Amino acid sequence: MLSINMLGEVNITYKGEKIVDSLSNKTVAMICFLVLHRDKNVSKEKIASYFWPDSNEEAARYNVRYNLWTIGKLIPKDAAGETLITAGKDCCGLNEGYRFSCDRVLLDTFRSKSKRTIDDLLRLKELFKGDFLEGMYLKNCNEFNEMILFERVVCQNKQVELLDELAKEYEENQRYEESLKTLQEMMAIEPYNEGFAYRTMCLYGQLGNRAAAIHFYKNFELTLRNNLGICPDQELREQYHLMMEEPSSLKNKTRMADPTSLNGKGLPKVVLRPVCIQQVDFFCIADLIRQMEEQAGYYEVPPIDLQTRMDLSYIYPEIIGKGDETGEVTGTFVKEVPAVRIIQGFYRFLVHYGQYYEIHIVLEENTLTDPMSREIFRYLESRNIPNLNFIGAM
Amino acid sequence: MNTDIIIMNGNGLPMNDLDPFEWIYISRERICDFGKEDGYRAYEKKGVKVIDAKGGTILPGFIDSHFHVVQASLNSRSVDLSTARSFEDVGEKIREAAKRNPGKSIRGIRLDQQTLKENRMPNRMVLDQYCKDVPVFINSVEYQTSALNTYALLYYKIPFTLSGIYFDENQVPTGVITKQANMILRENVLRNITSSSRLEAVTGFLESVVAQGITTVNAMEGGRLYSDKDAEFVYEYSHRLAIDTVLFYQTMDITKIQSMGLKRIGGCLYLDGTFGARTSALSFEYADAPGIIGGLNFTQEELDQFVLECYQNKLQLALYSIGDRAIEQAIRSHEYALEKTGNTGLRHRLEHVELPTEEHIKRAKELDLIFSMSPTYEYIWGGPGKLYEERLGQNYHITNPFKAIVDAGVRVCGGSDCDVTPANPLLGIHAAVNHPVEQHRVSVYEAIKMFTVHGAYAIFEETQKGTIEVGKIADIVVLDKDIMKIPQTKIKKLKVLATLKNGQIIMNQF
Repeated sequence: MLSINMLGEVNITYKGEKIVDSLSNKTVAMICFLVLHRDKNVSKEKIASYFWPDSNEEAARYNVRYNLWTIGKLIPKDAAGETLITAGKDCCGLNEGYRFSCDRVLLDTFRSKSKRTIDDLLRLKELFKGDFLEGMYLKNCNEFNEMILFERVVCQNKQVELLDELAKEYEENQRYEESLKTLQEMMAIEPYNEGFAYRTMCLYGQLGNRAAAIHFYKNFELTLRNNLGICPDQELREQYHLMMEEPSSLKNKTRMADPTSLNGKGLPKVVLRPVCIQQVDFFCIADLIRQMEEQAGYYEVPPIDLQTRMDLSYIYPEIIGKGDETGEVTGTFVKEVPAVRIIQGFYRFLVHYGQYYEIHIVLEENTLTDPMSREIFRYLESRNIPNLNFIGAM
Repeated sequence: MNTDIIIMNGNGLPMNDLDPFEWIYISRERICDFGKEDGYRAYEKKGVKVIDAKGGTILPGFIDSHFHVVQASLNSRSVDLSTARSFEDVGEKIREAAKRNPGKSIRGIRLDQQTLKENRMPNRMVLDQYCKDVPVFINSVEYQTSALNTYALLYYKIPFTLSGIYFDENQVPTGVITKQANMILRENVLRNITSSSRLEAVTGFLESVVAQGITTVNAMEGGRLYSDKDAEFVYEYSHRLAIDTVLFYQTMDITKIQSMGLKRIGGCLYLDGTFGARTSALSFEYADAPGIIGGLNFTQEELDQFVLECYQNKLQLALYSIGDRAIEQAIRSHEYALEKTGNTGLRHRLEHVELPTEEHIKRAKELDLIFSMSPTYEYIWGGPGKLYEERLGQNYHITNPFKAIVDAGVRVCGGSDCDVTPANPLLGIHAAVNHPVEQHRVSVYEAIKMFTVHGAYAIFEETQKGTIEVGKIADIVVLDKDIMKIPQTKIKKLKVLATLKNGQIIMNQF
């Protein structure tokens, strides 16, 4: 079957064999033009004015005839013996009975208001290989060039609408990862779209990946700042502040996305993905303490001893807020704690929680761990703390 | 290998408040000796090149502290549309460019629609009348708007779904693009310029820079309206350029700066805009636009946070601030960050800083801020009957108060903001000395310091550059006359006779 692809660099194949190269640019353009006007016959005069505006009438009409003849000669008939183009004395048009496939025609079947399945949407999404008639420009054919421009606008809008619908479908079906990936594609097209950014942050929330949501927001904020000189809108800022100030608002979602599971030893599993700032010593460790404390809040785990908490409070002050078994905070606050005590404190902290949890610390490839934390990880790994696992790049 | 050089019979200024000298001896990239009368004879031997300065001034090589190297270089190869007064003028220039370089895309710059009789940007139909064979990409004077011919609209990747695309009644793009779409378009176009094209453009352009006696520039690259690829280019290729380019990456991405090992951040990090566009943040209304006072791009809280992070990360920070409200905001953020961290000695800078009040100057001194200023602005736009008076009314009397700043002990380093104004430190010195408002004028010596010793200090290079001292890098400029003796109104007419970089003559007009 004949296949005409107009999204991306134009391509025409017959039974998988490329025939576009044997056609001139204007012949290809004429075919595309007729496909776009497939629901009606077009006067040859109009075609002449589109493609040979500078030629005299006779030459233009000859060119139209010659190109129609070329199309008839080079585009094979379909299985039923129909030709692609039907031509009369003054008009020509696409043969309604001719069987062929065309991405642009398929795209017209997409209407954002009609309900489609995810599979339908995915099939349509695959059509977008690039801009409409990418690389095509016919000098002096102003109307045709305008038609390309118009179609590019239409197709780009359809692409965004389609991706939008797909992302929503995924979300409704609780396929959050796929929804997120689709939103990322949308943001590649519209990198400053705050609506898309907001939805992305919410999806990270649904996935329980608070760290990723924060990273995403910071990157988005930076992009707006660097490229547009503006800050995110109020709604987005509020969402970010909510995420920063009330991490507990995500707890249920965290549990939903990362359900605490029992391992072979009967311990619940916690997955920690630290937020890191490379230039701030202990930042990564402090974030791990915060995450562990938050997650441990779900269960009745005895608090860690006061001395350890005091040592760790130098890098994560909130830890001191918890009393000991009696609920009282005693002991002397120190203004500065030597690094060695923080390291040993963190070791005891992990040993303590390791009695109650299987702890997974995930260090992704792009995690920019501060040098001090990195050294501590190496040290901890060498100590083989029970139920502690490091995953990813150290 | 460098040839040893003696420059004699000159009027040398070491720029460190010590006595003038008459000769200088340079060997192996360094200044080896200098002095008076015939002391140089001790170094005269075979193979030593002797240059007679014929009474001209010998100075440390000029440091231009604010220079958009890559964009200025690319612009030098673009069609300058600043003198166009009609679409026809624009079209003719495009037509000429198409003839000069057949088959090559055309970029037009500095088109000001307010000076066109049509009072709007040309659309694709207009541009098509003059060129249909290659992409035509026109930039408005502030780079905020682009105009493309049909070929370019189809050639470049245009994000038609973004805001800023203008459509005609048939919903076809007109070719005039602003806002978000313009940012993406510019990024796409500028990103597609290869490093080799950039290198070719920069190398060629720097020849004209060297001819003005400049041996070091502060390269303000990347960021909004520019391209991060420019910054990446300078980072990667600076060692291949004729002069030193000190990169100021115009980003707020501290992590990126740290990962690149840079010790400074910013440049044109816009706290406000320009007088020309009436976007500088003023405490009073624009004289020609009642009710308009310009706006700030950051909230105080946002800026405080960013400045604080720069202090915490021990990065030198350069913030663009022109109007008095923007300067106030910048100073407040520095005060906040200093109080929070106590980190001093980072030599933070305010770029342009055109409307500081007496109070600002005092507080800047307390914070040890450096003012990076462009005196040539005053030469071009200052004084009665010019742009500053048009925009600011009688407040043009208070712009760029060099003397008050210098007298208060704030260091001022000078820059051209090239290619906003020409890369010409002598014109900058002239402008500072001949400020249109007499009370703001500084001495010739102070003006030279802006482009030498203070320039070096502002990039932590004062131990190597900025003054003539034994052991320092031999970056030298020789002028045709004695700058201290000619009438001050003639400074702009001085010529650079020779430029030496690292002890090598890279420009010689003797």
